[in-house]
Amino acid sequence: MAIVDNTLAKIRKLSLNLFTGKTELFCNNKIFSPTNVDKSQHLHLHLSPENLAQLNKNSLESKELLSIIQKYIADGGEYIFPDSPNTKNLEKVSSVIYDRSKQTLLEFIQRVIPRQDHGLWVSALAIRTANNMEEIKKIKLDMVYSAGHRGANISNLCNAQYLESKIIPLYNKFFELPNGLATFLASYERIVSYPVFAVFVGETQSQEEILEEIRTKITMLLKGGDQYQLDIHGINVVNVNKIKVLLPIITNEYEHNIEQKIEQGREGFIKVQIILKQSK
Amino acid sequence: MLTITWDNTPQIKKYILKLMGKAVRKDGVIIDVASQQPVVDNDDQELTFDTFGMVAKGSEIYVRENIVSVANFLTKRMQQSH
Repeated sequence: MAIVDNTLAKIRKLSLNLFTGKTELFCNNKIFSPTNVDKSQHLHLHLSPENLAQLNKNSLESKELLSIIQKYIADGGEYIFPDSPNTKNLEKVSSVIYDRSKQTLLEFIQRVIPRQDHGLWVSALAIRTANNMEEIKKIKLDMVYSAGHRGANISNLCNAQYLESKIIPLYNKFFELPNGLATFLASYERIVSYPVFAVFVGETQSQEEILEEIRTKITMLLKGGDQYQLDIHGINVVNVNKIKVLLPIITNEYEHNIEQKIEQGREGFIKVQIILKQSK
Repeated sequence: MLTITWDNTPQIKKYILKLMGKAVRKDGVIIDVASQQPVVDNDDQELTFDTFGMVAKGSEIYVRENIVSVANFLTKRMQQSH
């Protein structure tokens, strides 16, 4: 890789004159720097509007830099050019995939879950370690943008720990049976398309819409046979209040079908488990 | 290893695309200047100027500005390295 290293050295030299300001070393060395590459072989530049203006002012040097970076790429040099939001996304995703405590879940996702959903589940795991509501909303929005209802469902299912409490046990129940994987994948598909056992109350949902969803799911569960539990989840004060207003209506309406109702919660969070039974 | 992080402004995005020998068609789709063919991202979708957020080595992998696309990129790369 001597040619590539020489080209990188040239890029470094040229960029010294053209790039002003701080260029921090990209922090995800684990992924982007093989262990045998030392810091001198890792060059990180940040292109800001000021730097672009500087490049435009020095057109000759700028053209030289452009062509030398193109040569570096053509010669097979390692590179990654993320914009600022994706730089943060790389850091968030890396913090999930290199978190030892998440290795069992990641191994399951990569081995069992269909390929098309890997990115969604890993993004959903990143929500668990997000620091603030803004960050959580941004990840959820990306998931919805990327996969619509499926993205929203996976985000909610993961956040409510259903990967551990439902999906993995379901796989363990089926995998040794004949045609077990296919049976599991069919169940998995139903879960991520329409999780009948859970209602995740959203900010934009009206009381009527929530009530309708709860009624529909209770009817489906009672018809379906083997699952008789509905969990209603609410995060933040507004959604918790919506659920608290609706609970007496549900309890009254399904008086003969509710065997047990368990409420768990703290400030800004509620989970109501409704154990159902067939009415006599 | 060369890392270029960039502020997401239209001018800088155009500079990065120029660096990669790419241009933007009138309808916003990114195309390869030499072949005039649309560029597809790591999820096999045609890439538009608005959604472009990253390019990396691996026969030029284009990634949308979206955490799910980044997660797909990294999990695929991780599987390939195992």
